[in-house]
Formats: sequence, structure tokens, C-alpha cells
Amino acid sequence: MRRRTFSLCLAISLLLSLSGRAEEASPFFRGVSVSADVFGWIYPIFVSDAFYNNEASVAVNLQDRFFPVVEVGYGHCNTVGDLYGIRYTTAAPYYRVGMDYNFQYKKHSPVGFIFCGARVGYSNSTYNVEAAPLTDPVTGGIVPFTLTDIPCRAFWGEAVVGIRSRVWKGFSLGWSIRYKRLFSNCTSANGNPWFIPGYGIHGTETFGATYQLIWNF
Amino acid sequence: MSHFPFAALKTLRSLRILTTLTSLALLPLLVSCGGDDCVINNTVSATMNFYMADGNPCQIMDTLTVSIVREKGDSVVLNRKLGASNLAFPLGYSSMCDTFVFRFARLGVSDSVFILHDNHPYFISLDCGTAMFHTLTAVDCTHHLMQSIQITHPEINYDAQENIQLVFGD
Repeated sequence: MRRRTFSLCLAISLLLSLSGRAEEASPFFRGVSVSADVFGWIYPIFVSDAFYNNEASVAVNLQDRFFPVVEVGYGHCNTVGDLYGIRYTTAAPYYRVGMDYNFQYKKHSPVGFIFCGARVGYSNSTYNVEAAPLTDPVTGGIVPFTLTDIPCRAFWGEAVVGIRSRVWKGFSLGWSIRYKRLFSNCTSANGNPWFIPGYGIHGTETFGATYQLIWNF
Repeated sequence: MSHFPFAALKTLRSLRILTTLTSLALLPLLVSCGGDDCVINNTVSATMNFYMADGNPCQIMDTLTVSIVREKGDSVVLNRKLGASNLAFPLGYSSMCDTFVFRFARLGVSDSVFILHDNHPYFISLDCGTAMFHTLTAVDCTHHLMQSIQITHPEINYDAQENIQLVFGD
């Protein structure tokens, strides 16, 4: 169902781009915007500092219609599970590239616009796990459980829907909701990661959200 | 001044859209009901099936007792079982070689099975805990009643599969 929604979103944007008439005398390049995700800063302060991502992005405005974007961030996780007292830690940078499409590019609304887009993300991290020792079923002895610097190279895709609202002069606010799908799994002989920087909690698919402060130049 | 109501309407509309999108953004947080299906027992077992020399499965028509050799005395894995056709047993977490002694009571004969393995500490998840998985590297046995032994699936984890084939002579 989610895949269908994403495909529909892409199909609509493609049709709109094909059917739209090129506006004469309108510059192709219309500026650059720099944004910071507030969600990543607020979350660890007011909700939980167990895991979070801090990120910033740069987007280029092409005819108010296409917005190629590069996002760079740093993901943190330092948490202890309630049930088994397992400590999981990781911290690494992550990168996303993609493009947004403005559905309302013909209106040139001064208020803002709704967009959809896509991203591909990548992070190369290592994680550590500290857990209670295991009891050897053969000898009855105690075996410590510690995993150190287990590598995780993750590659994923994101479907994005969002809104940008102009607030004052070149300053805007933006929301985006993201459906994420993991393409490469970091499964090793020592198990799966629990948290992937930039992606979130490990799983085939997950959701994310950003709340951005945007400066348009 | 005449533009004011239209501007206000536009602002209201954008606020409405923003509110809707905010709700949609929070929806996954509300409906996500994660949680892995955890196994009850985190200890994995190797599965050994018994075969005749012709390749057919066989049952041991004798009273079979299997024990693991330990420094502090042997530990019984299978106690006086009649008609056994397979065996599931744990491997050591700190050792890389385990020795199992098969005692056939009626015939008064014993055979030993030697299993070499690597151990992999395995992180399942924060909610499901940890485990120790193994990879079989070599197996061997004595030949009083046993004819041969071979690894069929070296990975010992939560997958229910045969790991070792033990062939008895005629």
C-alpha cells in the first residue's frame, strides 16, 4: 500500500512535469536554501536522548519546481534496554541526496507550497553492545558478552511528503514526513544493528519526520 | 485593506494544511507497535539425525545415554532413551571443541563424537536479548557402532534444521 502511494506520488509529479508548460522569461536557477532540522535538536532535550539525528541540508531552487537537495547529519544512539539492561552505542555521520518536487509551482504562492520527493541515504558506522554475561550450558561457567566496533554500512531510500511555509522575508518553516526503506541490511555473524544513523531503528521499513528552519538566498 | 480577508484566508488555509501534515507526521508514532517476536529460550541447539549406512533414517533400538564430557564431571544430554532417532544438544560457549559420549546399554558399547565449532556472540535486539550462535568447523567420531559423521548445515542458530548426520554401521 505504501509502495503504491509512493509510486502514485512519483507518477503524478512526472505527469505534472511533462504536462507543465515552460514559463518563458523565468530564470532556471532561483536560489539556494539552507535548512536545519529542529526535530533532531528538540527531541533529545524534551523527549529522550537515547537516540537522535542532527542534520542540515542545502537545496537548489530550479524554476520553483525542482529542488535538488543534499542532507548531511550525525546520528547518535546511547541507550540501555529496559528488559535485559543491554547498552547499545553508535555515532556516525550520514548523507542523503535527492530531489523535491513542488506541486504548486504554477501558483507561485507567497505563503508556501506542498512538495513530494525522494532521497537515497548512506551511513557507514560501527556499533557497540554491552550485555549481561551468558551462562555456558555445557560448563556452567560465565561468558562475558561484549561486541565492539561491529561495522554497519547502510543504504536506504526515502519517500518524502512535506510543506514549506514562508514566515518572514527569506525565512521559512517546513515539515516533512518520510517513509524509509532499508536496501542493504547490516546483518553480520554478531546480529543486526539496533539503530542506524540517519535511518532510525533497524527494520526493513520505518517512518521519520523533520521540522526545518529554512533560509532562502 | 481590501486584500486583508484574502490574506487571512490564505494564512488560515496554510495553517490547516500545516496542522493536517503535523497530524500525519505524528500518526506513524501512534500506530507503530513494534516489538520483535522473541524466542522463549535463547540457547540454541545443534540437531543431529541418525541414519543407516544405506541412507535411511534409523532408530537406536537400544537404551541410549548421551553425555557431554566436562572437567567437573559429565553432564547428561539424553538419559536412557529407547528408540532415539535424533538428538538436539547445546554447545559450549567458551570452548571450541565438545566431546559427547554415546553409551549403548544393552550392547555395553560406547562411542565418542567430537565437535569443533566457532562461537559467535549474537545481539538479537534490546527487547529480545542476546544469544550465542555457533558455526561447525569439523566433526569426528569413534567407530564401534558409528560408521561416519558429517556436517550438513554448519550454522547453528534459531533455524530448525539438521546440522549433523550420524551414520551407524550394520
